[in-house]
Amino acid sequence: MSVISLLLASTTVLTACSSEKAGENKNAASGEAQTQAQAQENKDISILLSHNNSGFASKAPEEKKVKYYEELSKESGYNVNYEFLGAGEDFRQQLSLRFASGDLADLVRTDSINSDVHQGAVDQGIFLELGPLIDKYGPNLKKKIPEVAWNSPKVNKDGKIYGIPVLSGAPADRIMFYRQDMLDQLHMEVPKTLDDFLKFAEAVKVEDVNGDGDPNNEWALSLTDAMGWRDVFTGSFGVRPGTWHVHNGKLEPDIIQPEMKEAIAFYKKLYDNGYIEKDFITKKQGDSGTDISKGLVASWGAATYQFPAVNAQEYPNQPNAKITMAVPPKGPRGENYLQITNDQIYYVWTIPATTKNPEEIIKFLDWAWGSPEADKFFAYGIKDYNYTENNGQLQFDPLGPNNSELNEKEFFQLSMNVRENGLNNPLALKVLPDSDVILKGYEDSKTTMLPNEDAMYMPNLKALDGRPELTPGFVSGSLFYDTFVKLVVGKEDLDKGFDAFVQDWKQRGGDAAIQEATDWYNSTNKK
Amino acid sequence: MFRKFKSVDSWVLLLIALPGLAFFLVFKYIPIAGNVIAFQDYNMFKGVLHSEWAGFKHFEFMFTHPEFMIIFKNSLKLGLYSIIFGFPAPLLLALLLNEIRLRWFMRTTQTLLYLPHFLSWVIVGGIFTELLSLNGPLNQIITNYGGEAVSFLTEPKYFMGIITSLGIWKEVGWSMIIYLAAMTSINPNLYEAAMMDGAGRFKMAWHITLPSLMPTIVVLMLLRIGHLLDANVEQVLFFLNPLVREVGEVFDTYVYRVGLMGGQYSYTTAIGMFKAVIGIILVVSLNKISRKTTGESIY
Repeated sequence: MSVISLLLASTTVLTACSSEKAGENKNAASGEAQTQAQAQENKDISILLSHNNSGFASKAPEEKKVKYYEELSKESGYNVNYEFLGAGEDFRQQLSLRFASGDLADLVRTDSINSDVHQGAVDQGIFLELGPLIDKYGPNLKKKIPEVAWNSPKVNKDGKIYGIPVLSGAPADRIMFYRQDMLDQLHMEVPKTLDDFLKFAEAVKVEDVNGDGDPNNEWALSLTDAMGWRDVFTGSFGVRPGTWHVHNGKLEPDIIQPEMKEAIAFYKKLYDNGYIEKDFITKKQGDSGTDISKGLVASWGAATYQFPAVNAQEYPNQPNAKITMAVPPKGPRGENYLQITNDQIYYVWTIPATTKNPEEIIKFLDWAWGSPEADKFFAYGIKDYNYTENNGQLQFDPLGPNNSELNEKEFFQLSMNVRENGLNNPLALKVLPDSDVILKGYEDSKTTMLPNEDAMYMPNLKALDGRPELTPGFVSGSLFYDTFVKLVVGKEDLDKGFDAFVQDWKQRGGDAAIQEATDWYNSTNKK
Repeated sequence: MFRKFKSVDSWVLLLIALPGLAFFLVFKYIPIAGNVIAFQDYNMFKGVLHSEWAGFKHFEFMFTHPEFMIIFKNSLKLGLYSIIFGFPAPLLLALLLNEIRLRWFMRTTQTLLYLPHFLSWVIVGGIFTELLSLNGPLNQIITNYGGEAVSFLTEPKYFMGIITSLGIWKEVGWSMIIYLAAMTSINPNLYEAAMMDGAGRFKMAWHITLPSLMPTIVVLMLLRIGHLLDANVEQVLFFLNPLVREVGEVFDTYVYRVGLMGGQYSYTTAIGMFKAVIGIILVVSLNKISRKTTGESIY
């Protein structure tokens, strides 16, 4: 209670501060200087976003970042000003405080215009409607951002556009990593089916594949408390947590389908046979990197863009360590989905209604999408600092000190990038070592997309409001996640436990959610 | 008295107090009014003044939540454990430390004891997860002696014990400082007189140190009891996992998930209010009891 009341109190204070500042600015721009200052101000663009835990954005001092701001300002002709807030939960809290106080920027990052962080913002007219402005000033935005993203309820409400998608840069990037050296040692190929995987897992368990003299400290698959990220096998049964599909005329979540029980049974088999660590659920996602480098795990769920770093990292006392990217093994019906087909939105830009020069902001974004200078900056950074040019040949060394320390290249490719997750951009990928392997990884990844045409654009369901325990995914504290773990470790009987969970989920609001989802589905598909 | 108040000195004193008073007014008293959002459907953009009234809707939602009783029971249990075991611990430690005559040894011990206070829960949690894990040192000792490895972190029966003892381990040294400070103000003549009368160390601690500390103990206890249902979110969240949720979910972790991650400000304020009301009832009644029995009270 006290936290929230304090939040409200500080809000009032903050509002007072910010309005004072605005007043000062107005006074300063009086008299002759006014016209000039105004013209200048129109070129000022403030951007509020998250550093997303990227090394350089979160840890580097401001003075090291300035050169990038200056370079982007020089190239674009706008005066850009970035403000990076925290990541994850921190970002949500800080952002909600900024919304409450009205202390925003010209471009504000959010996950969706309907985000819980600023519930009701669209209805209250907080965000500018951007449709007409984009039509007029953003031809490149229209052209380069795919329809699938513009149609998303994350930016679109009742046919009106309130946000500009920042793209994930690739339709799919989830993949599995295998330790190739371990496969070689076992004289095995990458498992193609779940049965293959079980054979592989048994071999990993029996042999001392990391060569440290102890044959009992290797596991076939890495699992941690972040199951949503590490789960690679539910898709082999044709379902994924977090997805909804139509069954017999009803839009239902995958988590209550019988196929999910099969998937849990498979994980249980892995657990019972000792192919995954017994206390995997107390493993923090952050610690799994240690397990990987020690060679305790032979495969894990990952993303294609992680390949260069993970393949190059050090594996102590394992001189042959090497990573192979592969799609997950196929299940009983030949399926191996690793990700949900999505709207390709990484996050969303909103422009607050109070912004004075929205057309300039759109023009700036249009420049970022349309100009070759922007392409170059968001892929390679600053000339003669991040890259060099010899006789028209561009030289970019991703491992060079100016690019690799604190992962500095991520700053212009990802953190500052106003268009997309630039780590997935082909320009950035093609200069990486093993770029052909990585590009193939992206192609492979595309084959593991679970069709999602039924529910891709489903809005937040009212029936699930205030009931995080019903969330149909691997969200901590949800009934599904708790049940999943209990069944896998054998705390409850698989059949009885799963049926009880489905019953419980439906009774506690799931039925209402299914009804609401079905109604939405029917109303949108009637058109 | 009144004449004195008029003198210049008093005005200066008032002036000095002003920032403190302003602090309490702005950051403690005005926010209390923010609690009205528990009775509204609070919308950040409409503000407290223009959000719609919702009556007791959020309280109803809370009391009908299927896990409400479990969460309430867990919070109460954790609160009671931390008071029963956590409250006497620093007092006991202070009494023991006070008996040490080697000055440098006492100082060093004291510093080492309150060092964990400055570590964040993420670090402390990480250390103990490692220690208590299936392949951790503790289980290695157990298996070396022929026992079977125990999964401390996923067994519901160990959860409260681990949380409570870690809380004590981390904060005991820090809380002890208050008692040590209070002990320095005890008149040494009392000890000398007692020694003359042939009292030993134990008797002196029992008849002089403890009674002299009584006001401090009572005030600390009364301040503590108001926070009975408050848990340390970071700490509990760190050790919470699907296998221990039924014994580990407390109000604060629930609020964290529903409120901050789900944006349910009104609902979580209602929960906070419920906690606060229980806290107030406890403080007021214990204060009354204490005034009658020990003569000490906080107001």
